[in-house]
Amino acid sequence: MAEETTIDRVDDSEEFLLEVKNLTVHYVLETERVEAVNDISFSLKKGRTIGLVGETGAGKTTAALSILNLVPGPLGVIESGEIVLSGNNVLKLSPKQLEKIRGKDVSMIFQDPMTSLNPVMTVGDQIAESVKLHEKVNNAAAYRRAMEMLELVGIPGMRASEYPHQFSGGMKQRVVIAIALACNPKLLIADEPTTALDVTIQAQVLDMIGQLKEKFGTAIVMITHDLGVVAEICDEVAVMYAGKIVESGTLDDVFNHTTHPYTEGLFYSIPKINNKKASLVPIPGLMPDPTKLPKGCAFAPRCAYAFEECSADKLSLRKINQTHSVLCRAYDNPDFHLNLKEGHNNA
Amino acid sequence: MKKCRKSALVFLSLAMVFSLLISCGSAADSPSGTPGTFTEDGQLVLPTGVEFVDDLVVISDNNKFSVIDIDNPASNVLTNRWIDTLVYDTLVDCVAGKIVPSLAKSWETADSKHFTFKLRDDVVFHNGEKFTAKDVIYSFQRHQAAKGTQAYDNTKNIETMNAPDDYTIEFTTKDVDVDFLMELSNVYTSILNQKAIDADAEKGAWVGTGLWKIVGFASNDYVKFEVNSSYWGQATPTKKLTLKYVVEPSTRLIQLQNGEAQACFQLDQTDYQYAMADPAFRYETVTVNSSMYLAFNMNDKITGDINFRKAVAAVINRADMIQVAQAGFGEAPTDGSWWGIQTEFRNTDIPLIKQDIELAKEYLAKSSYKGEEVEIVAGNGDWVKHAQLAQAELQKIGVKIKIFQTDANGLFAYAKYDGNQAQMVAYVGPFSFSASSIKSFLYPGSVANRASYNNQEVAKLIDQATVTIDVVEREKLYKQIQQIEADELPFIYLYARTTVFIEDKNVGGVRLSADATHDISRIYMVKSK
Amino acid sequence: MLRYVLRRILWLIPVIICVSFIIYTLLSLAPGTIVDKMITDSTTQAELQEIMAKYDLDKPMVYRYAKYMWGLLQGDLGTSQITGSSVWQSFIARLPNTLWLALASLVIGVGLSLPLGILAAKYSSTIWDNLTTGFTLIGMSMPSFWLGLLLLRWFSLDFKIFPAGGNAGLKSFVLPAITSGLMLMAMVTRQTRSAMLEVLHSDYLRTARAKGVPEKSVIRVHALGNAWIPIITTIGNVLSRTLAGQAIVESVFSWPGIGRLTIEAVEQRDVTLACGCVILTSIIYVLLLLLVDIMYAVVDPRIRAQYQGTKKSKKAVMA
Repeated sequence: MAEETTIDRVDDSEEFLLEVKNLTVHYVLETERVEAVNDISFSLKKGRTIGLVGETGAGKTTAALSILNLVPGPLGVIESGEIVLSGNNVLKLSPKQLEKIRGKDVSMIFQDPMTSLNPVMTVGDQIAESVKLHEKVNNAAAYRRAMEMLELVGIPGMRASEYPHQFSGGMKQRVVIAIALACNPKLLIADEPTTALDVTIQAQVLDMIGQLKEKFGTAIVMITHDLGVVAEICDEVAVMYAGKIVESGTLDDVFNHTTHPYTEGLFYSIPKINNKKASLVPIPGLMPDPTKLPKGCAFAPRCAYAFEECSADKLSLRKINQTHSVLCRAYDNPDFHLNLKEGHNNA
Repeated sequence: MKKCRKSALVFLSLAMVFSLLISCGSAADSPSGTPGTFTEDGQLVLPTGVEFVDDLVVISDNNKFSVIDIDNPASNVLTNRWIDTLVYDTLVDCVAGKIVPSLAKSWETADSKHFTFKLRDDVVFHNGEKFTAKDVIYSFQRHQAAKGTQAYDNTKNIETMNAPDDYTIEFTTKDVDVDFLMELSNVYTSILNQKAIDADAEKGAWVGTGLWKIVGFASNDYVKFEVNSSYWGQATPTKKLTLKYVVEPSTRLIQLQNGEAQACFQLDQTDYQYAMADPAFRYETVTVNSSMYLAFNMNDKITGDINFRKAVAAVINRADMIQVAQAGFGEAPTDGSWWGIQTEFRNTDIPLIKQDIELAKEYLAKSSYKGEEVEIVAGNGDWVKHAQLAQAELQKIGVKIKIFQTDANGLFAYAKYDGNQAQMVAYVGPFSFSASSIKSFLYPGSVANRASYNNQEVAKLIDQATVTIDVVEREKLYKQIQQIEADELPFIYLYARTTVFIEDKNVGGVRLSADATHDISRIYMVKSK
Repeated sequence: MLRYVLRRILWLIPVIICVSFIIYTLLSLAPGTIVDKMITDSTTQAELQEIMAKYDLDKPMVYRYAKYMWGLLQGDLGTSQITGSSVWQSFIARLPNTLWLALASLVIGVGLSLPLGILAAKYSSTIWDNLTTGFTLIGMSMPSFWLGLLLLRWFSLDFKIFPAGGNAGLKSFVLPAITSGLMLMAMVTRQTRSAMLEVLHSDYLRTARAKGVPEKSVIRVHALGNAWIPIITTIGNVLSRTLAGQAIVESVFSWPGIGRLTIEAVEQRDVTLACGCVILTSIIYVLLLLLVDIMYAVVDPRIRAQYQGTKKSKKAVMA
């Protein structure tokens, strides 16, 4: 059967741009199986930003890589699920078709700018490469476009002929963003783009991402462990724990009407600038070993509200309202609520 | 048109008759006898009614064919001997010990001090120049100027040279020289052409009168020859010849087996077996006059002691050495004289000291040896095996031996008369047919006297023998010298070496000689059907 | 860049001085001299002294060395004591043979090893990778002597395709080239594989894939482009060794190259020729290393910046 290289792009602003349905991704080692992502679902409309929040090891990066079908094989196996992007199931596309949508329909930027760029290619060439792959332009035009993109991210266009080692960390990340946005993708996946940068640069980069989002209307999946970042630029939030989404909803839902004990714990862990005397309240214990996940709720061993049935068997998602869902057995009891005093937008 | 055809026909028939005559002529050139053998005066009997291969390749190791430079006789490198037999001629030749005419057709001498030679008048050099007596004088002057070479040794005794006419030459030697003719027959005393050398200083010396012309040369690689069609002597059917130096013995074997080379001097012991078992090859051997011997440092405390030397002589196992070092190719002596096996006047009355461990122990007890370590210096390759075997044997009587292995140049330097650093050394002695060659080994002060043997009586006897014309007297003197040697044992004769020559079974015409001047100039190969 | 190259070339001078001194001393200390082969058994002591004087062997080593260095300073490598012809001529006559052999080995070696190494890295831990590793291990452990003889046995004797040595045209070139080429290939494959393995885990490959770069280009352009440095280093090393005279291959195949020439000069104690050969070989070696370093600059801009001095790169970072 001949490989399909054409893509049908469905462009309906009302429909969801990205729909992740029951995605399960495991890493199959010789003696054990790492259950990185377990049956997660979320969706994103055109131009919206969703924040994927969680600790290290929660499965955020794996989930994000899956959207581009870039999970490193042969160990990484997508066990089940669908990822629908502009009407195409990414998981069922041929390599050639995937190459077409990567960089064009969906781009991804990664955590460490120091190693994300090819040290022996000029930054201009690296941006132009993306352009040449997806648009029918000649080398000169592609290079010009590269210079434009650099200007857009706040770097003088003349520097397109320079090499990555001649840029500082923050500027490298800006180059990475320039590469990602060179072909004007509809969706940008940003995997902890500011984690490796210092705070002032972090603010600059976030700012720039926000501006570009405004300018081009790009939808963003922002992966982060920093709730502050989420508050800055996300419209929607999905909290991940042990490969599952334990709470999802709009920014207001999750921040002001927190339902999941884990999310509550996250908010408690943030130091409060107004109350310098208060002590930090960490969540006791550690995230479970992803090769030995418990049968029932993975958070139960650390949860202050846990009871016997929590660990018993599989949980199912509970809808609180149209936008807000939570994965917690406690809400079987309609009177249950968390001990949070107020919303945390004010903290 | 018709006229042309007629003259063409006439021409053709004339040509045919002419060529028939020529070929008849060459058939008459070949003497009668068993094909492949040489007659008494050095002519080769060629097989008849067969076709011959035009182009032959002979290969060997670096002792023989590694030609660094061709300029006989200025260089004494042994390998040039091969070139010399092919490219040049000498005044006389030595065939089976007898002097036969070569460039000189006749000679006379009354007192072995004044010699007159009559030269051939039909000889032409490779460059077309006629050979005259002037060329002899020029060549010999050149030899006399090249100190340190074999050619110098052969001509240094000449006092005057005179050419009364183009084809006569007269020599006077400084002293009576009974071996003068033998020296002239030596391949290094070859005749060169003055005009050629004057014209081309680099390649002028390539010009000779011999059967083969040098047409190509790559230093340490190969030398290519083409047959000299205007050669004065017997013609040969081979047209082209190449002598190649092939470094590895296994590679030589492979070149033989795949037909790249048709003949080979010197393989390795293991390779010999394959070649000899292969029906496609023949092999010829000749026991040369070159012998392995052990030399003792007469000035050393331990080896200078006669009883120690006698002990060693009684312990040596020659058969083992021949087997181990030469794969069985070698001739052990039947008498106890230290002398070339083919050299004249060998004293066969001297008894051979056979291996006798008890006797050896007795001698050792009488000597001043107290268990010290004695060092044998030996060369690389199969030379060191002699030292190893001696070490094993000597251990049986309690003598501790240390072996010092070095390469050829090192060996030269270690065992010199002056400042001899080797207590014992395993060496090769190239004796010649003439007895006077012993001088270089026994005479006090001689460079090749590897035992630092200083016996004034022997020196006197040698001086006397060199000028004694009477053969019977000479023989007595040399036998006396050998007796003294056997009593004093500065050297122990091990065995005479054998040269093995492997050739394709269709190859013939190679004349191996006991004095190692093997002549391959007449090599031929019959084309197989 | 030019200044860097010039500086490197200037280093040749101390190298030549050191090398010539070491070789001269070592050879002079070895027992025996060139004269030993130039005399007969009947040469008298007086004649021997005369001949030794001709080659200054009666004078101390320092004198001879000084004379040699003086000649060297004037660009004269001297004349070989045994042949009487110029050292330069002898070397140059043989150098093309070794050069051609080195070039052929390079083409065979690198031409085969790059794809092998890349594939081994790409399909690492599969049967293909294990086969390649096994093959390179054999290649590296196998003595070239043995391999050469094996090839001779098969292809020269059993199948009669190629001649067994010598230098008679293109055909006699093949087997020695394959022998040294295979040696080269074994080492470069290993190095390519390790270099690629390292690079294959790099983040910028992930970036490239996320851009939609086709997998083939990811490997060939992005991965290989960064793997060059260790590969070039290895090629430089092995090639230098090949060029310096594969004495063993030259011996097995009777290939008239400079390796054999040097050995023969040492055996003869021809100090001038041996010294000259070693000096010239060292020069070739040094120039090759320089070429390797220049290649680094070509493939890696970070190193290029280093060579160009700190001024330029400082300016860039400040911007």
